[in-house]
Amino acid sequence: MTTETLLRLENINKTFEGGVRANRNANLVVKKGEIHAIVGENGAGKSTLMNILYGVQQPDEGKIYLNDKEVSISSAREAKRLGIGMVHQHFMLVPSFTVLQNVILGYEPRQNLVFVDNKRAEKKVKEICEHYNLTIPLHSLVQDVSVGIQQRVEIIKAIYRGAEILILDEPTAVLTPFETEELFNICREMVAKDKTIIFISHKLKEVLTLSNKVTVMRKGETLVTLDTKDTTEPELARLIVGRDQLWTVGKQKKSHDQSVVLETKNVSVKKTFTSFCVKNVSFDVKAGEIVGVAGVEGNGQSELMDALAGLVPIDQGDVFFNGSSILNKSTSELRALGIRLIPEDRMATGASVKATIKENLMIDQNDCVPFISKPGVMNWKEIEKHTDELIKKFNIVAQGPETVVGTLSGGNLQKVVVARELSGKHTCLLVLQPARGLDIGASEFIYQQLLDAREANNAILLVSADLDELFLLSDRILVIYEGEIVANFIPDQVTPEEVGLYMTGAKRMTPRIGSSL
Amino acid sequence: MKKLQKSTNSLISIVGVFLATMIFGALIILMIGKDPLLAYSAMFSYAMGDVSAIANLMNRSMALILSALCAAVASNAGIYNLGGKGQIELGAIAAAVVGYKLVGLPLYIHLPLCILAAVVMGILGAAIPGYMRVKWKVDEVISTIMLNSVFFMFTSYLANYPFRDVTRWSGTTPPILDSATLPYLVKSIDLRSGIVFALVAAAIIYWILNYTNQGYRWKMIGLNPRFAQYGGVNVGKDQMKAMVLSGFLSGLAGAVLVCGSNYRFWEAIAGPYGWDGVLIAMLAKNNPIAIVAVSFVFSIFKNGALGMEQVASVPSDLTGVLLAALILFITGREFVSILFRRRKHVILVDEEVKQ
Amino acid sequence: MNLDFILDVLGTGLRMATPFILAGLGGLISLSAGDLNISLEGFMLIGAFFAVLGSYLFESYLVGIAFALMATVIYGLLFGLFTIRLKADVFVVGIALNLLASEATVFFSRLFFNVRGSFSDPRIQGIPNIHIAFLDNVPILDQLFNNHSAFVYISWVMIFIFWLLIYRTPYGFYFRAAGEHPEALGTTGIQVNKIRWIANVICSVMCGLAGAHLSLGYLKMFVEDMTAGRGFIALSAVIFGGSNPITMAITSLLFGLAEGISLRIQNMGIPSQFTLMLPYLTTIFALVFRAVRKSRKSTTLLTSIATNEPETKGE
Repeated sequence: MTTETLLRLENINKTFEGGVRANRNANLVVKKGEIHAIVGENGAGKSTLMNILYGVQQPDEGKIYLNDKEVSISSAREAKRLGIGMVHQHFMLVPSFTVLQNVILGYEPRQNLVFVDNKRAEKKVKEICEHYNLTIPLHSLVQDVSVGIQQRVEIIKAIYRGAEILILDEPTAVLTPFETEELFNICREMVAKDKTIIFISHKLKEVLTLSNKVTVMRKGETLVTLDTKDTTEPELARLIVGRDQLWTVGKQKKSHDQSVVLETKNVSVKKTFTSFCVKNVSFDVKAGEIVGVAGVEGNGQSELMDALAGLVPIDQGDVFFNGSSILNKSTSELRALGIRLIPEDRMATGASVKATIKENLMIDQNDCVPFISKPGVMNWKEIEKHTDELIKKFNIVAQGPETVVGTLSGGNLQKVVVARELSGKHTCLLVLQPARGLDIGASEFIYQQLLDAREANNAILLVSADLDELFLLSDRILVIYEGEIVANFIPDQVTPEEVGLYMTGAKRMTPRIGSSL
Repeated sequence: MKKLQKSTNSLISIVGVFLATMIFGALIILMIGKDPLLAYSAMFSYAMGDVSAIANLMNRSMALILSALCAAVASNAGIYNLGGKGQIELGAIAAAVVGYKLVGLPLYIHLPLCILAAVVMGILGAAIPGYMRVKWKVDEVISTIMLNSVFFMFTSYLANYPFRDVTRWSGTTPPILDSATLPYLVKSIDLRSGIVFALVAAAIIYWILNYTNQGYRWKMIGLNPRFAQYGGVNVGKDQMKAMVLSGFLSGLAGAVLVCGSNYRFWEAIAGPYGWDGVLIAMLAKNNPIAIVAVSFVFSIFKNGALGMEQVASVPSDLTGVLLAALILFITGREFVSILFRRRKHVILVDEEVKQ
Repeated sequence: MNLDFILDVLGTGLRMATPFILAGLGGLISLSAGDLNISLEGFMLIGAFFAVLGSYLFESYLVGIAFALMATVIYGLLFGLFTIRLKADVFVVGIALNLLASEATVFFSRLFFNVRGSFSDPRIQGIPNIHIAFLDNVPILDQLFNNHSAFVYISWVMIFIFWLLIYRTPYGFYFRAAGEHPEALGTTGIQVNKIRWIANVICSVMCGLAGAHLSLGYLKMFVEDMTAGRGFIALSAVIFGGSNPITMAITSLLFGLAEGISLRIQNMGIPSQFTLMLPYLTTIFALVFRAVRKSRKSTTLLTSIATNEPETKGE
């Protein structure tokens, strides 16, 4: 590793229309040949800073120096010309094209100025693969290869386009531990051959394993840059969060001799015709209990919840609600029983952003007295009254029942979702990532609502990737990994680090299920 | 208050677009060396100058309103029915055949039978693409367009072979019997009662869309089907219901055309009504009241065309060009404002991420 | 049913398929790039009218073709202005442009020719037929392939040009990427909208050729609404044939054949409506077939219309 400074960002400021300051005086120094991690919470400004570096967004103030020369990066194409490449979290690959076609898209070598020179392209890409010890099936369609391979295609694509600096945006979020390990090897191989990597993550373990330098971001500022070898996980965690324990909410101790409300037995859900995303899952949730499901995103937890809510079919196994099977019941039947889902994607699933608050609140009750005056006829007066009450009760900041939900802030939008689900009959709540992207005030409000529901003897299944949240709220924690429940804990008897090991597949309590599934 | 302001704003911009269209038309008229003021005054006086002109306007609007309602009901529920043309033709031929074949029935049995036959065929024509969409996710935009041609060919065959009026040269059925004709509303000015069907249908649809839970569910499905499904709405079933109602309306349009206006079926009887209906529904944003208004505007242009030709010797076909221009202006205007809204929306998302 | 009759029907089919192939190739590019242009019909009609106008004014079919291309490209720019620039709904704009084409051509024919219905004039020069001398003595091939209008042969060449364009040149990849995953194309620094504009212009040009062929190829006249649903048949061929010009062209040939048969049997007094229905019915069946298979297999295939499936099923 050399000590030569390759990239310098000075006093980057970026304010979005509407006054949101995404970056405040952000500074970043990256040296040639290092793996430089940038860590921070959601919304700390990491993505904005990288988008500025990649030319997707323009800074309001600040300078970017590359090899000590000031540059202005006006577009992605310009970034590429300067040797900056980016691997997005959501892959930018065309599914029906082959791997090779995806790699060369936009930069095809030409034959007679008109045609794509496939031979030359293949040779060039093969050279890159050999240089970095990568194997990829060049002639397979992208839609047929695994996520890990797709990511490798993205990396090769960036190198093919001459990237010297490679930005990896949350690269491990979608990978299995094995694939993650492979990715790290690739990264090491690349820096050994003089590439520079900027690695965005909020998984501290990975950051500590892989990087040479860590920059911590919080609230748009670059707080500090540390040598990885001189820092520890707790130190980074403290820097990222900037607080030790601020939660004012907390659960009351309770006895757990309550009856079982929700029970799954060997539930499996198909992903495609031959593969499963939920495998043989069995657990129960008692009344007055919050059971947390910890897992890295994409390990089947969303599909499990959707299946329990009747949104996707359960392919094997059985589900019991208060002792009787609820397999094959429709969403509306399950809702009538009091099983309610608070989905993770509130913009697309949890709410209808173009509809008003009162319309959003009626989706499950448009057939119920008092909201209909005669069979089939809506009683809008009553509905408005009800909406006004909920707006007050849930502190929703909105002009009134006619406010279009899409104009609300994230926290208020989530409050609308929660208000709807908690205002109807509810005995069992399926909750996903309830506080994602919310500020602390809104998060605490939502948590308090969940704890109140727990006091009211609801059975609550809480899926989250945020261990802080799970430890705060859960009575028990299950860990899901690749569609299986691999562990279960009592929060007081385990550390988050230990749970983390199970989330990433490093450890498991149950034997691995054979390939019969 | 805000709502009022919003609707005045949209009214102002619609008037603006209308004026722009008229100016555009005036320029064309000037270019061909004619007098635009004379042409327009002739157009309006011809279309609305006296009672019988107004009656004529009503007669032309009735099928247009029903056809537009047919498109509106479906697309409001997130499922496009661009097959109004074919479905109207199916309905029309059913009404015509029942209307001339069944001899000796009294009016109060024969006429309802005609309408029933038309409505059943219309529903059938809409239910097929609806079922294919709900059951197999076959894109209904394409299937309804394709079925337009299929139904046109089918009804053309029926009118040319089994049910042909042999005394006529072209493909038509024989005239329907007196017992199958819709009575006049006001005979002296030739005002037919089909307009009553159209207006009552518009009022009922308005009520369904705004005041029933079925209408509410359709709206929710149209805005965000995933949300509706998550909320426990049976999306497929409700969309199927929307298609059935849509087909019902197109069948009714067919019946009104045959029993209340043409008194027989001929090939492509639905000619302009199908596509015009789709456009009217889109311009009126699926609002039944607006549909009635826009349909009248369409009819004014079409009925006034002859006046423009006779008085100002401007080719009557100019009005068709003006209508198309009107549509383009309105789509352009709407989407300019949507662009603005979208940008605001993006900011909002950023804000959320920031929090 | 003698050989002559069969050859006659086949030859007519080849002839009838030409507008489908030409407009279909345009529609195919447009669909590849993500826009299902349902106004192929209107574009062809505009092309047909202006071809006659140009040929009439200058007594030259070449000027006629140039007029047709100019008019359809302007029409295409209008389409692009609304769909790409103003982001209006493709279907609304498509329907509106179909309406505008049908009204405007009638209006213009009143204005320029002072007639309604149809217009023919000795001044209109048609596109010449091509005589291939060496086929004269080959019995069957002569009847099938000789003495067609020049555009028939041009359309066959076009199939291969488009195949090369789509599968062998960078732009082919850009079109398909723009339709399938525009963000992926965008991050390579290529402007997706630019690609859509190019596709749109290509589509307009092809529809212009198809229109010119309709009015100047055989008839040498303009008839009100003379496209008579051919744009929608071309659209069917595009949806049925997928993004591959060759399957699209084969589909077009079959549809042309169906129309050829209809023409012949109509002359014999047999109802032709059912053969004329065939293109639309086969397209619907193909859509259902694909959708059912997809729901059974639940594969990772993309949208049903954009994929290119092997056409193994019978007609």
